[in-house]
Amino acid sequence: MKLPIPDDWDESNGYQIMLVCVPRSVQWTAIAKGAIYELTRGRNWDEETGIILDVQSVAREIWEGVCMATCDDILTVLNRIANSMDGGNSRRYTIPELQQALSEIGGGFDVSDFTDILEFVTVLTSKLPSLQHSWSIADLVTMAMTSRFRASQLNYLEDISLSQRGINISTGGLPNQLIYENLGDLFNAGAAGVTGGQSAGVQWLWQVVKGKDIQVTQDFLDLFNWLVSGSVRDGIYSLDTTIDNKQEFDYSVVFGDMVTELINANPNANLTSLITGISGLTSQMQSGLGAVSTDLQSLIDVTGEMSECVCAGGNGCSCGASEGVAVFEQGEISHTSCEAPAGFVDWDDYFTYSKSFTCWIIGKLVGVVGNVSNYEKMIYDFIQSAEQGTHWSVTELYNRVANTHANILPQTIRYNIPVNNLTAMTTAMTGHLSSMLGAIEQGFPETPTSTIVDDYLVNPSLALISELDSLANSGWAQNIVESANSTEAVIDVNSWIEQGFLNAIDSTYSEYESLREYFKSITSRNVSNYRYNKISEISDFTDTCYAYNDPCVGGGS
Amino acid sequence: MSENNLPIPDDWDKVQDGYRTMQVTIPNSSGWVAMVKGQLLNLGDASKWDSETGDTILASETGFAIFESITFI
Repeated sequence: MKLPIPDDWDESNGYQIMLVCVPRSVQWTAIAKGAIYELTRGRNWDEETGIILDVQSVAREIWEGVCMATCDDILTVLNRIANSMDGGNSRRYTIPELQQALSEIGGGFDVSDFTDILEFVTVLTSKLPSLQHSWSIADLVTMAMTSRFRASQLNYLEDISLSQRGINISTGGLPNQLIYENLGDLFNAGAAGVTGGQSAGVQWLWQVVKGKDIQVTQDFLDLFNWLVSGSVRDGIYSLDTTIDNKQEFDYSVVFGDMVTELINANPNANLTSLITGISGLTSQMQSGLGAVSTDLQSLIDVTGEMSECVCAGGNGCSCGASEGVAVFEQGEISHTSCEAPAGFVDWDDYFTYSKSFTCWIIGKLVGVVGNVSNYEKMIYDFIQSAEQGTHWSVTELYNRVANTHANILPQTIRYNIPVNNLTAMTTAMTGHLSSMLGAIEQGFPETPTSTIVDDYLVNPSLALISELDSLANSGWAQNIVESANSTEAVIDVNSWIEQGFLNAIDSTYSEYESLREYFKSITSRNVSNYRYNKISEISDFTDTCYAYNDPCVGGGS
Repeated sequence: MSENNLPIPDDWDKVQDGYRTMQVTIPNSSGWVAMVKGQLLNLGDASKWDSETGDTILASETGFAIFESITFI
């Protein structure tokens, strides 16, 4: 009797893993594997129920995925891999040793397939000796268990490569030096762009987009400078660090509260409560994290002393002016016996009227690099968002923006706006960017994510608009255009502006891509956790098989 | 007995040799599950074994035990 060809599956339905206990003998193994192999024979299938070649293709994939392994071998290798990555009590295994361990499983493992991932994991473990790499272990073991199933392997590698690509896209073309000094430099850079070719113009625009608002984009710049100076693997390592820290300490609560307090701080309100709140939050952070970076420790110390200073005695503090200056300029307070600056009753009043205090705190927070930073908050928000299913909305947003305003904007520049009318160009771009921002807000309804979008896109975009407006109204650009009497000169200016804008805009869109890839890579971790649970089931199963020697015969006969 | 019947293995001792695990990755569909399990179920059919090579009843019992051990994870 011929087999009916299944018609209830396509690639999108995915795969499942089936385990079978087979007598430990060559002949029984051949019998069992032969039963699976029969599915690849075309004559076994009923041609009236489907396409023989198609069902053979699937059957061959099943056949190629059959893996025979002794229970103890698998468990031994699992332990070796786990021991090599936890860096704790057991000694580390080298990559060749791990490769050797994998090869000992048998069953046709192709060790070369694991080289990249083993090297990657080695880098991770060298950076994070105490990290529990459950997801890495899970993925490695999953790959080991399904090593001959190419689709799973490729899917995982695709996940990794996508996350890497997201970072690469984000760092691509980023100048090493991103510090925007002043408008004069901006104009000089722009002039260099006109006279020196496109690259300088592109760099100038990069500086406008990325560097104009140092305050809000510093964390962004820190991140990417760090990535540029480091490596993609370091970037991934940082993500892992964040996830690890997240498991031990709830950043969302402390940082969320802190940032909320700072953002909502009213200079005319009683800042005593603000300082007290910050001090309490930093104390939480310190107790939650244990060892902290120097910058964070400085922040903790300063806010703590501020709190003591301001609040001591119930009616303000007794700090001196010099120490107050030190707070703002150096972030240090050395003692608590002092007076407020002239014109103020006490430090409470001084702080009340000093916006610079809030700015300093924000700047200090932004400057905190290491275990705690705004960057990590952003990454944490990414994780939170991913866990809340924001992946979908990001993708939707990306598609929506990419398919509408993203196309309209460069087209406007390229075709519709006269190059000698930058004011009109600015107006048109402002309209398109506003539409984009509206779409963004629809796609990011959650407050934390909106903060990310503000940092990544909205503020840089607004900065771009502002600079364009300034540029258009300065007369400088008009003079350049008006003085370009020759056709070639006009073309040069046109080319510079057009290419510069296009690059800047493309780069902005690449951040959408980066966001999406981040979410995708983080989502894959959740998948990995799922895989890890499945691997535990495999281990339990094989362990039972090994321990009782006869687990598979019904009724224990 | 058909010449296509399976030869009964004679290289295994249940007590001394024990079992190994075979992992098969199959499409996530009831149709394919039925096909794969059906193939292994054949091993529990005494008529599928070559009676000239051993005890077909014992072979089918072992074959059926293989089928019964199927676990999906």
